[in-house]
Amino acid sequence: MNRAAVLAPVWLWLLLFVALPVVIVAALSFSTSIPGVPPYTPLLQAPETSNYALLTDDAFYLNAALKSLAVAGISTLFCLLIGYPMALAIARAPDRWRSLLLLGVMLPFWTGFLLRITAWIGLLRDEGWINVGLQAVGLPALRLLYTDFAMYVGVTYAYLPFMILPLYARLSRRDPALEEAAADLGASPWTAFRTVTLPLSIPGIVAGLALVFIPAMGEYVIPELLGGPGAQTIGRALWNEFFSNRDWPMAATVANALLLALLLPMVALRARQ
Amino acid sequence: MADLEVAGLTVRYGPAVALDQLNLTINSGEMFVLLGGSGSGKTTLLRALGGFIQPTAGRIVLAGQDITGLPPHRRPVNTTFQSYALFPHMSVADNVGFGLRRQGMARADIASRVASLLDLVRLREFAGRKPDALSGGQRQRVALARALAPRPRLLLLDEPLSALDRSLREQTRQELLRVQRETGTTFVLVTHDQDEALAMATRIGLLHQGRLAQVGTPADIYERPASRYVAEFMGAANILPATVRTAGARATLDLDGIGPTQAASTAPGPAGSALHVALRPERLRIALSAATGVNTAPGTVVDSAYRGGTVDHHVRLDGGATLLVSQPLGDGVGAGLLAPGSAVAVSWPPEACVLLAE
Repeated sequence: MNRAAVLAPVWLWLLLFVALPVVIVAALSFSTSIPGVPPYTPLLQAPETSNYALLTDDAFYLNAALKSLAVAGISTLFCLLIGYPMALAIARAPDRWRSLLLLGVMLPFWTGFLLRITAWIGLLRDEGWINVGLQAVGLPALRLLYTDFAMYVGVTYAYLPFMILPLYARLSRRDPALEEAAADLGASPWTAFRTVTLPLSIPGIVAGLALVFIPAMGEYVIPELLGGPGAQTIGRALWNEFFSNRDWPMAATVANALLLALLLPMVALRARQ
Repeated sequence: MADLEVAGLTVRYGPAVALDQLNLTINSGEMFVLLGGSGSGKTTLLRALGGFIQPTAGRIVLAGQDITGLPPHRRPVNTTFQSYALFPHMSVADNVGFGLRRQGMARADIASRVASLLDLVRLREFAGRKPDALSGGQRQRVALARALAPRPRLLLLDEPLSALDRSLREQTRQELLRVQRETGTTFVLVTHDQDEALAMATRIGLLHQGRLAQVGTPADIYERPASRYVAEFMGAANILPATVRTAGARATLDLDGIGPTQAASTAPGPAGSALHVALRPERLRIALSAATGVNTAPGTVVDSAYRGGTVDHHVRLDGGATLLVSQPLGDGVGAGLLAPGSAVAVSWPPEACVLLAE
């Protein structure tokens, strides 16, 4: 009875702000775009699958999905490669340093996301700080802004804390005696890391990969601000359908497809465990 | 044959001295027990031997090779950790084979060595299990097998029995002794429990404040403690101040609160010098008759407690001292409790007097 009372607000929240929107978006994806307010045929009257047909027929959407996959995949990999050593260093740091270092990881959240991404424009543009620095030491300037590279930098930068925090949570609970035992049995520091520390941190790696990859797949702001005009990611495609083309049903279809593409592998993974 | 030589070993943590110029020789095939209270430096010494602590000064020589500067993974020394530190993501067999894989041993050889070690610790049928699915005693045996697998020159055991139930402890102790006998490996075992040390050691090194208070066989340490600290640590009660009355091979002493006493050993100082004497409770005899004679003192019972194997009496002697007398309960003696206030006589043989230099 008490349990139900405590859980009721949670269920209500999930129903109103998760389940209901998902159902509406799903229903929307089966209607058609018309001029007017709202700009679509009434929901669930004469449902159509033409939007989904377009999704598979027009290579634009598949290419956008592949572009997003590349951006999210490469950036997530960067996050792991940069974030793992950082998380391990924080976990191994003396107690009095640890909270300070963690604060450093989370400090960027205190300022606005847009502001931080915009700041990268100042760093990456042709006359930006990086190029000024390169030229100061006699190196040629590089085209950085509005490239794929700028997108990887932006996504990696923005999502790095989401990789570090779950990794840190896992690594800080490791038993230092296990690494000592490995060394005691003849494992060099690298072998001890490879055979003991790394395998035991896999749950943290999986959590970090999911926390970075999933939002990075749908990322709109970073490709829009830092990426080239040709860098059509799924997030930008969705935005264009919704705001430029005012094709709400198509936008809903793209959103649904993205949701399914992210959800199905996770469900499959769950089922296997 | 000296296997391990520790010379002038000093470990400092800032101003604190954990080990103070320690010298120690351990023989090949020994079961050497490092005994000491918390903060005595026994764990520091074990970690220095394992290579986890770099000593501030001194040398560690194992089988003629100076290993002082070697990191843990280059030392022919293995450890069983107090928490066992078994790798939770590996099966029992993979845990035991870990050190062998690091040596680059062929797969088939690893399998047969692991099998023989699991036989040694009687865990063959558990080879495929994860450590989580084992009991405490079984984990201890896996840790032992894992540490023995690479055939270490020296095996270090950090409080191997402390995490076990009392009933398991005796069994595991026998197991450790058997494995040590069968493998012939030199064992250095750290413990804070003097009973454990007495029951297992070929020799004991008693550490106190970073120094060795005494090194010797269990009987040496128990019967002939080198100092008052050693006597107290080894569980001696009844430590009384005394004065030497006549020096010589069989000294006579004046015990405070008791009177003249005949000892069986040589006084540590000349006549008139002060010392302490330990009278072991189990070497004292108690009689209800008002007996008189050498080393006999009258007194009254303060209290009397049944301890299972013995009855412990506190007796206030007429001279003022209070002694603990531990009376063994032989066949059919019954509880043997004495009413408080009973008049008794306590007596002890000259051999029961342990003379402790100041």
